[in-house]
Amino acid sequence: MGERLLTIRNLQIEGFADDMWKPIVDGIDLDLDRGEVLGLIGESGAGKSTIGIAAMGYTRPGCRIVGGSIEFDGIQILEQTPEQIREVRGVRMSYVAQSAAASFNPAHKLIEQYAETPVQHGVLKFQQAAKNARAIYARLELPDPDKIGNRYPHQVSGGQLQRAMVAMAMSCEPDLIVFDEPTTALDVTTQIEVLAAIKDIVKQFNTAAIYITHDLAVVVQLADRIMVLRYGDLVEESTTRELLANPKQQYTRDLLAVRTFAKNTEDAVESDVPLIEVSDLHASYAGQLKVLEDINLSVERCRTVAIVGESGSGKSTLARAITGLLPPSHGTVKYSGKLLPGSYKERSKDQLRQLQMIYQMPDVALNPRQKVGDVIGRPLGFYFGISGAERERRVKDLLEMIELPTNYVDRFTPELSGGQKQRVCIARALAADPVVIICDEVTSALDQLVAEEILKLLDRLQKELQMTYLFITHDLATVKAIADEIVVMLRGRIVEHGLKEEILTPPHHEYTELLLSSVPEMDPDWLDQILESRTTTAAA
Amino acid sequence: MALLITKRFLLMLLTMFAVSIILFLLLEINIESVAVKVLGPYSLEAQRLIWLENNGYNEPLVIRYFIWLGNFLTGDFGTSTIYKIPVSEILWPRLWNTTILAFWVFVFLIPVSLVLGILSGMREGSKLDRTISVVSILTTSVPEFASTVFFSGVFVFSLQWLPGTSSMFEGFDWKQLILPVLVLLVYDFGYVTRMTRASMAEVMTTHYVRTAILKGLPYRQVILKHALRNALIAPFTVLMLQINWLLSGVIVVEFFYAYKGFGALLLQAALRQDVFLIEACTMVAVFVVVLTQVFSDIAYTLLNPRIRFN
Repeated sequence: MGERLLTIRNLQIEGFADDMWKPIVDGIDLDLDRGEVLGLIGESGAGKSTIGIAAMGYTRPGCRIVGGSIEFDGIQILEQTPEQIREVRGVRMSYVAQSAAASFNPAHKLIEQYAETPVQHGVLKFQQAAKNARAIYARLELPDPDKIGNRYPHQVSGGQLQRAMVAMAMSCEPDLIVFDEPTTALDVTTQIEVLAAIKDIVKQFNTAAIYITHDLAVVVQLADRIMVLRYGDLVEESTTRELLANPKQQYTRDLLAVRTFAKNTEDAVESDVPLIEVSDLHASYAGQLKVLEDINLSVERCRTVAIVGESGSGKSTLARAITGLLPPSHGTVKYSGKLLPGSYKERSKDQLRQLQMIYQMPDVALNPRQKVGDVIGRPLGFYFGISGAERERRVKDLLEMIELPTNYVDRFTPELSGGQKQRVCIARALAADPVVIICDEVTSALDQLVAEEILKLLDRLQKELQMTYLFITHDLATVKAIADEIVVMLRGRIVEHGLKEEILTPPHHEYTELLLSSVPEMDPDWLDQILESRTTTAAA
Repeated sequence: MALLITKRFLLMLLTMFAVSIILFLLLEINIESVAVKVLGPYSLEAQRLIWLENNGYNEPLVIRYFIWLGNFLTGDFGTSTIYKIPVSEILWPRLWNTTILAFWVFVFLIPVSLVLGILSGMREGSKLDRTISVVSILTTSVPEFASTVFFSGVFVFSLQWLPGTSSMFEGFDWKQLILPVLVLLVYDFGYVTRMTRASMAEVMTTHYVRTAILKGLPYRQVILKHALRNALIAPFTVLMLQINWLLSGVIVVEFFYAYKGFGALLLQAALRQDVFLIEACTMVAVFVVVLTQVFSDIAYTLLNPRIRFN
């Protein structure tokens, strides 16, 4: 450490939107020493990814670098010809993207894509590169490291692919790696493996890294120093421990305080009438692939039941079975003591109305050609036949309820921010005057501070309207914040179900323990400690 | 892989079988009208009855179908009422002529449309892209019946370089092939170019192309190794569909240039209600369509490993 590797001065980048160039990054300075890990943190739109790839002399289509300088080990990146930059990329600096699944070419084998960089740049022959690949696959604890390279990207799991991407970035042992949200798309239990792999490899090769993420708890595990960014500008910069101990700016303090919201469970309405009863439910796709087995679940009125599990655990499928989108192959769903038909097509309008759903991606769940007023007004017309002035009045009431200005009725949905869109989705569900709302990963696509506001809103609505929530999520922090009861799912089965306090206090079920302990904490030593404790447990 | 191919071929046979039933029912269920079409509207009732009896038309429908199918499979398509000779003697030479025409169109169509499409999709919005786009939209929007007239006007009447008909009475003559090939090429290349461009432009925005660029690969290799293979899947489908069109759909061009091809034959058979010729032409056209589909399904698995292993 000590020797300067990367110096960025007054970097300015513009993006083309709405027929004009607008600044995305506005005069950022950045310094990085050899072997140092720098964390870039901020919400979406903060410009962190843009800065990260700009360090490699690249911008996304529709963006341009308009000013400043980037010096990498004595090379002025912005003054090089494309041919000269090509000599540096891949060999001396490399990139690990958020979605490995999208960033590997589906048509070539992993090992071919690994060896491509060293072979192309004349660093190594294919055989030698392949040998290195096997060694590094083994180091990253990929299964069957000698043969996994012969697979195509779609033949390995998401976490394995992400590690293969890290391996690929290491193929020429570069001086700098840019990690762009490399664990964001992964489950917590997989994230921990990838984080450990990254930490190990940058230490081993003394590689400098820029680690980009929106999750402060993740970046503190790796970074020596952190830059907090917002709206393309620097908010605060200091060493990791200093930032955690003494945040200077309010925004940083907000980021640190995120996930402190907790529902007051004491004043939850007591109730013993099961509102939804799922008994002995099995479901499968295309009549073959079993996704749900032996599901027994009862949800009481005015409660929030959180269903947690990793991707593929069947939690969203359970929601589809309850709403009738996927008729179960076996078993029943009862609502208020009455049997619900398996398919939504056979349910009455009133039964449909009482069970509403909110989805993960508000962008996709809203018709971009509709105005907010139409989106919210539609269920009013459909379920209650309300129109005209009465409908307008109700839409305004609903907008007030979700804390949006009433003049938003005339806005088209793409004009809203992610959090506002999700609020509109909530209002649309409320318009049907439902009894139960199924929330499927409703905060997963949102920035943390925004997500927290949505959780607070949902909590308030529950108290005011006596709402019952079925809250599907993979995020344990969200569960801790909002749930009364927790259902833990694994491979299509319920492994544990109980009150939040019971589930969250030890002793845990083995899998629940794994899930809970994998959630990163705002502590730079957390990753090392957890890995150590797991190795000792495994040894014992 | 062998299983896939077997499955595909079985499915192809099944499709052909289904089409043959529909075709048979449509054209041969009313035996009176078959007799009228074969013997002509001025034939006597007695003549028709004799003809029906002699040709086995008084048998039950199912038996007639299987005899008909058996004949078909052995290459006996019956006798053409227009030409008064067995259908097979006229069908195969005509199909061969059309194949020659389609072959030459393809020889030019594939390189021209793929190269232009790729160049244009590689740098979306560039000057080259816009030029290619305008030209390809323009040529595709001019229908064949207009471009036949136009090209004949230029090359036959004004410049007098090329013959105006392509009947090839005195044996094969490549000069007579130029105009039909040109018209088809001009009409079709724009379409395939546009499809290739769209596919290429989409692939250029993918993350794996960005990965390739950030690996510091030469631009040539980014295009050839990473973009092209994935971008070619959609145009490949379109090209396969062009085979169907070229073999059975080029009626206007063949008719205009009096080219003795399959399309012109189909038109003639339909206009003059030559039952057995219609049946044979239809089955051949269906066969071509199904066969190209089998080929594209197999080729897909070679282009896209995700299909290969599922």
